[in-house]
Amino acid sequence: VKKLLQVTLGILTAIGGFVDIGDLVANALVGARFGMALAWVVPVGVLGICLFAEMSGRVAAVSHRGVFDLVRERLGPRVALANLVASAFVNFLTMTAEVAGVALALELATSVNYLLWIPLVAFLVWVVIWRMKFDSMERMFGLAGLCLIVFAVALWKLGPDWGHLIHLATHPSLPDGEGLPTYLYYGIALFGAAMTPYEVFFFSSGAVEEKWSTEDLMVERANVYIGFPLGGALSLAIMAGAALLLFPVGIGVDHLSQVGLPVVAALGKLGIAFALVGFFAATFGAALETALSSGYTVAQYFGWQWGKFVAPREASRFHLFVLLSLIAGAGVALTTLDPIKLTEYSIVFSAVALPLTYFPILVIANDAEYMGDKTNSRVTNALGTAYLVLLCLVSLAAIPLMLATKAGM
Amino acid sequence: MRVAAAGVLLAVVATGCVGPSRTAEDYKNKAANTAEAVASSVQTARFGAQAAHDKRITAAYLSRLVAEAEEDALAAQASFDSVQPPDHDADEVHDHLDELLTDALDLLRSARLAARRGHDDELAALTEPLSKVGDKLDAFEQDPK
Repeated sequence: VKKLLQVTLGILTAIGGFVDIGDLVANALVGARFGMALAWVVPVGVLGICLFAEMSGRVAAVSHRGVFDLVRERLGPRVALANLVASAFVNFLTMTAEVAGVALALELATSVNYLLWIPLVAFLVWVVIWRMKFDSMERMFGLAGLCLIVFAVALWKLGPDWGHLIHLATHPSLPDGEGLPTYLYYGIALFGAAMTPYEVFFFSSGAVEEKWSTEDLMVERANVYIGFPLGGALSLAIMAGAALLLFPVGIGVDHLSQVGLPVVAALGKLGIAFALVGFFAATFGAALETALSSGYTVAQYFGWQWGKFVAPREASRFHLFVLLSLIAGAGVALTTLDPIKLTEYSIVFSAVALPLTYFPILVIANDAEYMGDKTNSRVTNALGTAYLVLLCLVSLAAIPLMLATKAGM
Repeated sequence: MRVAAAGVLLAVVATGCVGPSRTAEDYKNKAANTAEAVASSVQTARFGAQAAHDKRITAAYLSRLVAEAEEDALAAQASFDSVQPPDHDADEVHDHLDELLTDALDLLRSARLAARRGHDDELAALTEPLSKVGDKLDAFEQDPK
């Protein structure tokens, strides 16, 4: 039973991490604008995140140390600092977007302006991090996040021609009026949303929090290979719903309210209730993960005591940094910056930072000094290297495409 | 580090700018994009009105959906108005689109008020007018003149 419960870590990371505000927005936006023409990016992203999350979880289980701790030791403080700065910046943007996402979900449930919810949301995130046990936290938001399955149910209820849908996904073509640069820009955004760096920091640090050892590697792999594909399948369901319902009538997705329209059409008020709980749980779970990740990365780099597995007074600098990050994130969200635009920028900048995040993990996962006989297999290395090349291409293309397309306009 | 930060800032600022129109063709493209954006808002509101008629949407969700659609349409209109028409032909394009935008925004305002007040029947009655103005905006987007 204990091992079964451990699988929930993967499900939490998949739903609160894979399907977060970035995925909700990116998948619905892409489905509404390109139909299923970018669906192929989702499995590419899922495979990539599975690959590197498995590596980072294995590194943590074998070494009992966080990724940033090892990156600094193995690659030196200068390389690790570049990694830290890029990751911390992207993580901060993502955390701010997640906090705003929770507030947007509450706004849709209550009609109270999301700006009024932001301070309360930030406070609640901090309280949960401060008070709730790590495993209780993961179970609660992991299970509540499963409400997003309502998007898959809605898709089934909409009764699509499955063969046609699969044909559109497997034979991508540009819709009328869309250019190749815009198509590629949104492909990168989708890829960045799928491979958001914090998912790996949280997953590996979570493995240390839960005191994983080499005996837990089977559980770790089950988490990765069940949890992340589940998140990917939900992402595709969100995209397909938008492709079926919003794409034909030209509704663009600029708000969270539009993301839920396929559920409204297929399942009515009960469906909306599930979708709202799912929005809340996924974004709140991701806000917890990103806030914790901000503390994990900085504390591991500087060698501070970190984690929820020790009393807060023993990891005071870690908790202080998490608290300050949350306050700063809430402050940025309160500037009335469009939360959906912020989300779009955060996933594109994630794409820019991807090689810096994933290259050190590949290096450490191959180092026998840390890993003993648990280094990468040849297949994992071949795939990891191929992905690093892809990550570099994506990283180089992201900003020029952002400028050329005016952020996809 | 400073260069990277400046690059990020430049990217964000540059992508948020509305460029001027030097030619009538460019102006037409901007007009078509505006029509497309407002048509999206109109279709969103129409979807909400239909869902309200079918009792498939909660009041709070509907209220936000329609209010956000109106805000988007207003933003698109303001952005378009900030672009100077470069010649007489562009003036005509502007006037035609302005008329459509005015109709669309009137309907979106009515839809927002009906949704806010919980008057689902009034909102449902707007489904057809919203559909018509949406079709006109689509037609304009295809052939802006």
